Amino acid sequence: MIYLGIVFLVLLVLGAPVAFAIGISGFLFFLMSDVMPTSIGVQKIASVSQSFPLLAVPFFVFAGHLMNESGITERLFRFSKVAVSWMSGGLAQVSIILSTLMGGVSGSAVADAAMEARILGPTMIENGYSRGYSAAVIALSSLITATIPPSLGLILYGYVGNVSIGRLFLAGIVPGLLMMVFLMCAAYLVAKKRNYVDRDAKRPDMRTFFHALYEAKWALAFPVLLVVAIRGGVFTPSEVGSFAVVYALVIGFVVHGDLTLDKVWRAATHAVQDIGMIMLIILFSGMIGFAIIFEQVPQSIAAALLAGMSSPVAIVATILLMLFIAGLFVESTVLVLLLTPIFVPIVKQVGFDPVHFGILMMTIVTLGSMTPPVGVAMYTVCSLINCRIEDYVRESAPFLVAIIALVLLLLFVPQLVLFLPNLVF
Amino acid sequence: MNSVLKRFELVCGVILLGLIVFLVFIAAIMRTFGHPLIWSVDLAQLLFIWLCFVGASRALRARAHLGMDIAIRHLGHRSRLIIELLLAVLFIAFLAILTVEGVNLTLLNRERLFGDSGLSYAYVTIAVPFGSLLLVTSIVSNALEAWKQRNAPAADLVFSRSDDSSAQALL
Repeated sequence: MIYLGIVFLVLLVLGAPVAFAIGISGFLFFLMSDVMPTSIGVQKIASVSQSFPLLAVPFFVFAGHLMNESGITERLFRFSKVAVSWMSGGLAQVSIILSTLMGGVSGSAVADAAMEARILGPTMIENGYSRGYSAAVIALSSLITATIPPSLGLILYGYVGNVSIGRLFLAGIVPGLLMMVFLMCAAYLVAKKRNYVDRDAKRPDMRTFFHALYEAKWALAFPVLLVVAIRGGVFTPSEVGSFAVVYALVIGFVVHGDLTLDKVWRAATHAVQDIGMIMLIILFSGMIGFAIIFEQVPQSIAAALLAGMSSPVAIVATILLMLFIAGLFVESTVLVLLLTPIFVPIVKQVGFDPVHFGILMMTIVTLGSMTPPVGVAMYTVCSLINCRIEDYVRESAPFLVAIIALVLLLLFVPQLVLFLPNLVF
Repeated sequence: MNSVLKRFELVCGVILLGLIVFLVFIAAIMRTFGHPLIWSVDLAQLLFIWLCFVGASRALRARAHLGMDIAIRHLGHRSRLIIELLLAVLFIAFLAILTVEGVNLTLLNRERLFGDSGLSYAYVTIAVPFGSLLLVTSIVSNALEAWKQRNAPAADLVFSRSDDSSAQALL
């Protein structure tokens, strides 16, 4: 098992695509095993694709691209702008609200951050916001998408850890909204001190507000319909994913009239590429996942962890700290695939709810893509709005404090997470 | 040859994606109205692995696969190219073994049936060698392209783009 880890790390450091680093180190287990025929490795790759919950991945990726093309993103942006741009740090507030609303449409933090850096970044800088502050708020607010349904990360966590995806989706709603409130407070305090205001914005009257709300109704209704459809237990998350695609097509063609066949084709080609990228990592992780279970890695780690501690909260806090450190270096999808099978059994063993843990874990590992030294969302935003990493790091501090405060709150008050799923299921 | 393969991947990928959406959607609707279609979801599940590999190859050609560049970001273009070419050789060897083992497994699986629909599981396992070969063609064509431009300092490598174009790629 040690040599698998070494091969994996060496390939990663050399800059190999993550999918191949995972695939080759996992395959080594089968090549070098005396008891396991090599062809079982291929069998593991194939059997990953036979999981019905995983079909939700292509559906929600495709639906996200379709909604971008069908004018849904644009209407959400206009609504957020009318609703909050008059506040202190108005454009930062718009970015946070938009991330929350987009979280209900697409499930990817990096895509959300890139989109906002393009449409909000230049305006923020024109209005006198510092580059570091603008980059920090855009990148870190995309963390909200990690828990608002449909979240790709939660689908993967549910699949790998054998946890109900419907419950995870519901559990993510309150933490996502709280994250929005916490980040808005942090953005407000800094902006107030520096007198960041959007010059053209004024407080909307009721009519303007409800008009923008009405314009965006189909986009705003989507996450609600999604939760209602899964909640009833009549449809599985994968089936709801296929509804999401059809919903985006109907809204785009019939209701908004913004969609054309060209745009559908473009959305589909983007989706095929994204699906290929994510799914190759997932397919290849089938081998290493098997090796982890076969070598009883969870049991050894559990033994080491449980030897020193007895309180479930302390154990979960230690795991979260480990996840945070791993997240600084490794991409979140990879962490979810590799570490969920190790940690979920431990967490269950000490009597901690795996749904509660999933929300905490997703928040922490997704945060890794917004922090140096390795952070896809951070690099994307900083390069798009031309911000130095040092400035970004300095200006992230108040937002990081808000995020850590929220994670601690969620850790110690499980009801905030579990209230909704327990109410419904 | 390369452009034909590129087109083939694109068209196949979009058709597979559309079919899978349609099959799962129809199955859910029909079940609601009391006429469950068992084969529909099974067929979608079978096509899924093909979509994954076709998409993976397309992403590889677009140099879109995620990697970590923290350690090698500051190396020169030439050193990075050499590292990526060596990785390419390793990956091709890995994919070649997967192809051989995948064909063996498929031959073993001819008898095994898939779900309740009577489809052979071999249609699933054969996707692994097929996908591995497709990935080999994209690695080879990317490597040739990178080698041809080995003297241009800002040219794309085998698996990653030059810094200027990578920010654009995420959009």
